[in-house]
Amino acid sequence: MRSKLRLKVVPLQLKLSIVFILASLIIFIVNAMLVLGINNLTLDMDSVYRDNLRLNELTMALDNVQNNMTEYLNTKTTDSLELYYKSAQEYSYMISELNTNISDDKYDIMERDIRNMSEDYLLATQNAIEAKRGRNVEKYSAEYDKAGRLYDYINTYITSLNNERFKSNSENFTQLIKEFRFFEIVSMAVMLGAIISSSVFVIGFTSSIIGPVKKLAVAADEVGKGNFEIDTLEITSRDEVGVVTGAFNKMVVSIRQYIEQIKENMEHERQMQEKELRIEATLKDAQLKYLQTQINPHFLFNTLNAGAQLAMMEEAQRTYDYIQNTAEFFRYNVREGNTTVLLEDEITLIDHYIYILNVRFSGDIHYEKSIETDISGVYMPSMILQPIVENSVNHGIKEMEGKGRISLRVYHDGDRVAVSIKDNGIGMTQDIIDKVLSGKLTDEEKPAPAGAHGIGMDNVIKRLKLFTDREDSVMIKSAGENEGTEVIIRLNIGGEADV
Amino acid sequence: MKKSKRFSARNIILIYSFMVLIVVAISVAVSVYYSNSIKKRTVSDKESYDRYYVMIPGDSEEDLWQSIYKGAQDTGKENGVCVDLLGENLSKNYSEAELMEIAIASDVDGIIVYANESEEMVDLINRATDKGIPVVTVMGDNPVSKRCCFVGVGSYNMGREYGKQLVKLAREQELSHTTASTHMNDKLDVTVLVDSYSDNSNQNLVWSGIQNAVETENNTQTKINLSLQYLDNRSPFTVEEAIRDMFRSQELADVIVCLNETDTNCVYQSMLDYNKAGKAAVLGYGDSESVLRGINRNNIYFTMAVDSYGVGEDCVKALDEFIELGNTNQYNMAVITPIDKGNVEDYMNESTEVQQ
Repeated sequence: MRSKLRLKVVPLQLKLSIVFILASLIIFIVNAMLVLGINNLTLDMDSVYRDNLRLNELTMALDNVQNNMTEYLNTKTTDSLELYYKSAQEYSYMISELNTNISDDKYDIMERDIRNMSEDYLLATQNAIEAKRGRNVEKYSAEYDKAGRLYDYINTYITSLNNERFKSNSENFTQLIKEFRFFEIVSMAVMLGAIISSSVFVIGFTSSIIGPVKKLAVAADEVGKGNFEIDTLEITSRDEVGVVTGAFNKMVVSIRQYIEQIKENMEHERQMQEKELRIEATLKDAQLKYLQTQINPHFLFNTLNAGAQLAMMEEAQRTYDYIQNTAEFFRYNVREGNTTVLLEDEITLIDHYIYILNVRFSGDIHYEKSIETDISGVYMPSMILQPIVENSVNHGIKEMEGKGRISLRVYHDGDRVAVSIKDNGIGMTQDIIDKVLSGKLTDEEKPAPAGAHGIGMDNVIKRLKLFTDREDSVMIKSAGENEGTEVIIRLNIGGEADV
Repeated sequence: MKKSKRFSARNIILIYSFMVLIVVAISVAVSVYYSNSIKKRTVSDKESYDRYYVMIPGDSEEDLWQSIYKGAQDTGKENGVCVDLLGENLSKNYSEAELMEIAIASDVDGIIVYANESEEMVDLINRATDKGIPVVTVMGDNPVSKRCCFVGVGSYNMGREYGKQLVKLAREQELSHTTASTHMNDKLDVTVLVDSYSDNSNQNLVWSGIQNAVETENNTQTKINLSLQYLDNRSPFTVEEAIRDMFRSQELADVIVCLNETDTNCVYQSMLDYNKAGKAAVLGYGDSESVLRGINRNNIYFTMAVDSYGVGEDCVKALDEFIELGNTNQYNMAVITPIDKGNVEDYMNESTEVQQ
């Protein structure tokens, strides 16, 4: 198990090298063995006829001795004597290499006989030469005869030995050739075995290395086609492939997570865009309705300004104030663009509106304003508070007897700013409140035509909900009939950025 | 699943290693086998010997000499002596004298020679003995030389044995002719085949033995006429031709006596070829298979078997004794067994047993 683990951490290069080296090693060992065998056989083949060669050389050396001796006995020249000694020396050396042992190998015995006879022969030649030098004719011719006979015997021996050796060597050679052929077949078989086994070894080993890579490739292809829903790959080794596989697994998981996140973000954005579109649409709707009900506000505004200046000139302060407030009120309404305004501005608009109403209804509306928290930087959609106040006046106060009262209160409510508009008018039933909040109030149920600007509560509530993204941004409270109504809106602090 | 997979991977590695081992083992085994077989072939088990004797036979192809050689060789092997049949492996045919010279020059430890009584042979035997090589003469003696021992057949006794057989034949003839009562005129013509050129006194001794036995032992009415037939033996094959000539041209004698195995075989074969079986009784020599078969079929009347194997044994023993003790018996007579129809069956069984 430990070795297995160790094998697992071996780097890819080393692994492949091991495979290659091992495979080569098998083939090398097998080859070496075969070459060794062939070498042995070749050496043997070489040695088969070596004996014959040696014997042939021996014959030549013997001939030399005999010829040189005869030459000397014929001519008595120093040259031939020298040649005789040289050849005798050579022959003597050659026969000293011959076998001396007595064994039941007939060739050994023949060699031994040749050696012994050659010694006698050399002695005879020497005697003949010496007798010739000593001019002992009788002796040298006797020794010459003896040497001649011995020469004949030795020659016959060598020839016979050569023949016999050649016969047995030929048998050996035939046998050797047979063995060689067989060896060839065997070695081919062994080589084949070695190649097959090393191929199996290499294929097996590399496939165990390449296997994970293949799996990785298949998985990568899948991922490339966009399918991230694949199983994590098993890490079988800790080599480079293992590392890559691990990284790939992590990458796939990460990509999946990022895709999830991006999907969420896109969904969110889409929702946001939808919301904005809806806000814009409703505002457009409100403005359209407003414009339908109004004459050109710029003209009115300019007219009112002219009126205010006229009142100023005539020193009619109250008229001037009235016209001025009215002008401010319209100026707010005709301003360009801004769908989101500061809460302060919206409250200022209420101030103007109440002033105008009080002039119109000769001070019947008692307006109380209490701002209990810092409202700077609190944004809200425009044209929200005014329709609510208008609603309070139209439906709450106008229809009641006695002095109407509207109180506006801004306070901190948790993490939000609450704006409460409360009247002491006729109040509302819970049923109506629910219908108003859910925007299911039918036209018949609406107590009166929409306010001066035609912007209904449902529009206000929708926009607020869209703006704050909360269902509880508008609340309507009423204790019951003639108990007054309180509308509370809750704004996020710094909520403008969302819209 | 995961676990089994890992196990299989490990198994694969094990299998690979195993395969590698097997392949390597096979190749090692093959090469070792080959180097061993080569060694076995080149280095055969050679047995070394202390001494080296040579045997110079009369005719090495003859069964008799093969048998003698075998006896010598086997005995030699037991005593650490290598006995070689000299001239057997040579490409040239040398005479006994030449072979003697070769043996002397080769410095052998002992010579077993089929000697004749020529001067040359005396000289050669003496030269060998002077050089310290003991010489044993076998089958043919050279008593004047310094040979240490003679092993062979007592020729005179052999002749007497032939003589006795002739007398026996004469008696048998007489018995078969009783009714005719013409005993007075009965005669038995006997031809003894001898070599025309021989340096050996053996033939003469045999001849004397036959004559002596016939003279002293013939107590029948039948007259036994002995005659010699000389066969030209100067060159190979002439003996065989001479025998065939004899069968072709001459009136056959009643009995033909052959003194060696070759003659016996030739006579037997010619008799069959010329359809003369039963016309003449053959007294043969040797116990070769064909001769025994001839006896069994009644074509050969009688033969004499020399214990040739024993002769070979005795030669080597004599040489050993002489080398070790400096002395040995001068004569060593071989055992001769007469074989006729009566005991040939036993002999044939015996020889097959020996062969087995």
